[in-house]
Amino acid sequence: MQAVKIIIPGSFWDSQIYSSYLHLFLDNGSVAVLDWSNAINSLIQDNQNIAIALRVAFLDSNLLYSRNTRYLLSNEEIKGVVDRQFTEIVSEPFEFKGINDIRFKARHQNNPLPFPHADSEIYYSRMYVGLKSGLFSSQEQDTKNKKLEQQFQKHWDAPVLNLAGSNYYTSLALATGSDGLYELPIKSTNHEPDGTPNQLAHNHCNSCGWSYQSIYGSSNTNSSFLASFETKSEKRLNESRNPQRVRQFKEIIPSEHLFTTKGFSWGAHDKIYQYHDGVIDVKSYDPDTKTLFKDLGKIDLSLSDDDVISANVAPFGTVVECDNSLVIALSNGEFMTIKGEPVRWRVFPRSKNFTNQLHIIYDDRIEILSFVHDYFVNQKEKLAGTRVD
Amino acid sequence: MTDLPFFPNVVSNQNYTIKLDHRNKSKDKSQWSVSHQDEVFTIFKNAYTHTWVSNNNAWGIFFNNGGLDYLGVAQDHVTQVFIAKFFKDVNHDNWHGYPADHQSNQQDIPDQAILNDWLVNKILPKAKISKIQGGKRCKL
Repeated sequence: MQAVKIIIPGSFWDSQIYSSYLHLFLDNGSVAVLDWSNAINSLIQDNQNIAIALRVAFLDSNLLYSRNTRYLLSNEEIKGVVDRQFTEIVSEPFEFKGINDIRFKARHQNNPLPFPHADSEIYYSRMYVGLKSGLFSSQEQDTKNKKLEQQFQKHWDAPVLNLAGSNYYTSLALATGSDGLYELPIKSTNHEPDGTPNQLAHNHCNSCGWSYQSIYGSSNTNSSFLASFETKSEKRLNESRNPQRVRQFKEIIPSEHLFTTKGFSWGAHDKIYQYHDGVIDVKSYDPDTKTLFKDLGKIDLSLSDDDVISANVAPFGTVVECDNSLVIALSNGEFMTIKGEPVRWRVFPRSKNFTNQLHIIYDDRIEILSFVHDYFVNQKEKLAGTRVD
Repeated sequence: MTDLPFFPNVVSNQNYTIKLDHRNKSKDKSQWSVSHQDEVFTIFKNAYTHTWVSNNNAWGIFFNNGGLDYLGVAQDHVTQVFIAKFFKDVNHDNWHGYPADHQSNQQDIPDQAILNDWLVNKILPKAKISKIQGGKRCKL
């Protein structure tokens, strides 16, 4: 079963999907906010025979992971209906005319943030961008109008190459290249940044991903590492509430301590990967166990042309960027190669409804792929992709 | 001591001095692979003429035979690079430069205004600019 695809022509720099709206940064220095929910519901109205599949693929990735739905899918007759719909929607891509397609109800605005940026992240309704000149953000105006405030805030003036928000703790991880890995605490009360970033590691760091309370920092010039944290229950004096989980920095664990071979490594959630010599070594990470790491096995991945440039993990598999292609090791054991040099690609591991999406921007379009195979994969046994609990 | 090659009035009364440690295989110094002439009169002059200048730094690229080409190697003396960074000695309107390694050193990533100019004017493909911004490996 291949991926379902939506194509939107246009000249884009970056994309974010959040709270049922698709934010597109355009090359001309503007931002378009598209009503993703409306557009997909229009597709569903016109294609009732594949309504379930469209909803799962593009609006509600978690629908089929729930325990109740899994029970329903254990019925062969019901599973047959869902299978048929998935098989049907992957046959041809859905193409929109562009961002001004009426179904998107697009809102346009000047990009209030410095552009072009290295990376972006929407965290608690605030758009953050990182680039050489620092970390900046702009708040969404309100819940109905998803435009960004025209005033932006500058939070830091050190280079930020990659940023990732935590699902478990209010915090942003910042990869700053040769300055290392930093973390910007976000207040749990009003979700504003709390002071300036703290340095976690001096090690070179190009990109970062959250592994529960810890952060995996990847480098394509030096060795990668895990900034390992532990959590403890702590009951504060004079507080009658239940004990709170408090997160404390423990140590930096270099990739040489995890793998016996050298190679580019990356990680998120429960998985850590290293690519070397046509193989991806797979380890699990569980901060609640004494050993922390466990060998899970290997994925044979014969990259025909180049070595790895960058990589990331989502529930549907692990995505590896090469010079002129993306290679995806899917959680069902299959592989997918997407030829062409992307401008940018991203997955949404922190999202509630879009964890099955892969956005790929090319010179003249964005392709939004959705993977629908992972619902039928044993989550405890899979090698490629993060586990869905 | 060897005299440093000095080029007066390369463009708009700006002078240029070639730094030998970026040509003599010095350890931990990136190395030019282009000639003196190309460093000064093709890459630097082109950068200055296009006003790819920001905060007393100029950023250059090497067009060779109608296409973009590598201009040197990074500090490891192996990785090919295609961006040059130039510094201005403001007291003497004198410039020098070296092959920049955007992957190992984020200060070698061109400033936002320069990258935006390269994006808007299609000087470099979008995918290359994106990789440079993110400090990712980038081949031509």
